[in-house]
Amino acid sequence: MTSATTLRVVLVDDHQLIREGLRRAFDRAGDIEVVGEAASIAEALSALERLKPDVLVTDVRLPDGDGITLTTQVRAGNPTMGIVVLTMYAGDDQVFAALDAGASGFVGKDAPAEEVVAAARHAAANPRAFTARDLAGAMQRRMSAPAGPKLSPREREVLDLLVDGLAIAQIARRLYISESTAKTHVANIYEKLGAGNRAQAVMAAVRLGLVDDVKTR
Amino acid sequence: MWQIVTVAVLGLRVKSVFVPLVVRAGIILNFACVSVILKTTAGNNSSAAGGTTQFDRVTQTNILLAALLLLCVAALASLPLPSSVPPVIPALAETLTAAVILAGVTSGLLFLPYLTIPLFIAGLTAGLPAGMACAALASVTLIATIAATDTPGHPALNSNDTLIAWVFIFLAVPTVGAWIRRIRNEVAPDSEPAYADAHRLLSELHVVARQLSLGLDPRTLAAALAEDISAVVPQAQAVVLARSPGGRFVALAGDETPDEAETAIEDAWVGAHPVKREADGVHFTAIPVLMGERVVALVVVTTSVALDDASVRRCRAVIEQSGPRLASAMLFDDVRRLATTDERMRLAREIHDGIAQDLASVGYALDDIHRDSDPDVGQRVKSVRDQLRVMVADLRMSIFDLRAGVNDTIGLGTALSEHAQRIAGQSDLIVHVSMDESPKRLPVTVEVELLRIAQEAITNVRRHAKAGNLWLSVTVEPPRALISITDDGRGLKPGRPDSFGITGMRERARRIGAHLHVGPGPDRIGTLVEVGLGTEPTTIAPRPLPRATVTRGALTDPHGIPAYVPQQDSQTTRHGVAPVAEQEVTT
Repeated sequence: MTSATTLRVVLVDDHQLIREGLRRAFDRAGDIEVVGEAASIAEALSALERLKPDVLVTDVRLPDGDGITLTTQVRAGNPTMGIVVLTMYAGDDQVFAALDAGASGFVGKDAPAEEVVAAARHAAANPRAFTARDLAGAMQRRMSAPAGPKLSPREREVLDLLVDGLAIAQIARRLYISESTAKTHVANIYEKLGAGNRAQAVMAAVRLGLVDDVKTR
Repeated sequence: MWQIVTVAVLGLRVKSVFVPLVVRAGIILNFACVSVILKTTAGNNSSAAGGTTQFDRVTQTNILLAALLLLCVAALASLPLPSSVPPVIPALAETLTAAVILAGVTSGLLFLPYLTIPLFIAGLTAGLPAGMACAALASVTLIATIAATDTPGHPALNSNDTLIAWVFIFLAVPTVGAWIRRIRNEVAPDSEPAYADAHRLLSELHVVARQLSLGLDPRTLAAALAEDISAVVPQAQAVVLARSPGGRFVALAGDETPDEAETAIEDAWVGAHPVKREADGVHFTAIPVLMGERVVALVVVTTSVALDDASVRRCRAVIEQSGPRLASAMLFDDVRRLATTDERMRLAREIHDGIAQDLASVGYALDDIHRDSDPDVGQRVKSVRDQLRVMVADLRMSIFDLRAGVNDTIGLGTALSEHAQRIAGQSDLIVHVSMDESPKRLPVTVEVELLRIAQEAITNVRRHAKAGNLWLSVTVEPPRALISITDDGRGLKPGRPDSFGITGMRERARRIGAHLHVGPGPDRIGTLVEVGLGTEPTTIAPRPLPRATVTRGALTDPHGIPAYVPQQDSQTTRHGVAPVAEQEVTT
């Protein structure tokens, strides 16, 4: 619950100088109070339990785990707390990890302290609206990357025949390969699609758009 | 004097050959002396007549002869044998020859106890069954030789009882040996021989790696293999393929295989036996390179007529010979890559936890001071703060670079364009990316080196060039690749060409057999860094119109505003890269 008067913040970072710097920045803001600091996940969890702050500001790399896991854990129990992920790591993966974990904001450690303060304010007001610099760019990069399991051309052929309902022996004959080879291909397909049997493999293939829908009907 | 003795003893200890020989020789001489003394006293007692001296001389000669022959056997038996020979073989041989000598030579039977040595060794080294076999051999040989030579009145074996007693002794000795062997094996824990083996293998690997760093290069070995195949099958093109853990096949040597060969390749890999296919009059034969049961690589032979069975057999013979070497080289390459990756991760952690955090906290402190200071000082603090921000962003980038790499899902093109985007997002550089990447990929080890070279070149531009634009052009067409990085900055300063960065780039290029060119950019503006693999830069063939998927470009700047892009025609034609279907990318 966001207090009408002051924002209560807990800082989690294993570097004391970072915590001190941020604390000063928050103190200056006037309407924000740093109610607790923690240097590890264990400390953070007990501080959150005790203090019930409005906003959690956490580093990614911590001595006993990572801030992303902490974010997931906190978010699972508290949908309204603002969570700002602060990191020295660069790269889209970090941004998406924070987003997926349910963070409200993502700030690099090269950014001025004011940006952290601004992110904390935003997080308190909109805990489920994720903000980060270059989020749009990262999104676009992710869209252009290929996704899903990649089947080899031969595996595609075998999959098509599997979907058609052919038995292993028939597949082997159709493709002029030995039965054991066909079996290995099928096993590889199951593994790539995370399927345990033919029905699951067909389902997964349809879901991933690996086979034409028409064919399955 | 003592020193000499000590040195001699130490020397004997070190030379493991001498120990068994000295033991054997000692026993033989011992028995020779005892025999001579026994004979002399026996002769003196039995006859007071004048024949004594002659008898003694004959006996002594016989004893000497037997001793000499046995010494020869002992010397031969002491020679070290390769560990591949089972220990029972030398024991059997020694038993047989010694038994023949002992029974065949007059007075030889006085040395009968010598036979206990090979029997004991047989029991000790080869176990009870082998020891029993040796004992049986000794007994049979002895009895047969005595029967054949028919020497009546053998002093030692004048009754069957004595013979039977000796047979029992022969059976008892290897039993004792085998028993000691068992106790020794129980005492020594299993792990120690395992460690000893591991140490031996690692030492060998170390020596090999040091002496044959070139000889252990998978690409060189694969090229040699492909050449050997071409020699065996005339008018054939051979390609050596390896498979990455992600399941894609990459050419270690030779040109990429056409798509038609794809199914043959997969079937051969999965089935671990040669597979023949034909498509449009072109015949492909995929032959697995086996290491034991496991397929480690494939050789694809492309011919215009179907390969007959005899040719396939010849190819397999060639592959069988060089297969293990190639497999070891690939394994070694992988180990080296893992070690390098580990070290880079460690460095990244160190920078991340140390200097980067310290600088970030200084930045926060400056933010604090900035807000307290009057406008004039504030302006100066702000400029320091801005510089610091760039420095921390730089470190974040370095950490990212150290941790980043290519893997099975992220190829060279993707990794490089992501890197370029990051650079563009964090500096004032306008980055222009032109990407022409084939869906097929280079071996991961090669991609890693190319990525590092390009990263270093881009970092140099960002840090030193004071450039406004950076052009990154990537053409990957396995097994060839060409990457060029051009800027419009202040160019190379004298003394810079051999700075650390460039030395490192050269080393990386040499490692993968690529050529590196560093020089002034077009029209002597800025700097051009070019790294080419598989061919000279000007000889990369212009690709035919690539399919839509071949060209993957990206992206925009964080705010989605496209920047002005200068024409790049001059650059692309200079490299001989077809300008078709290139997608200009700007940030």
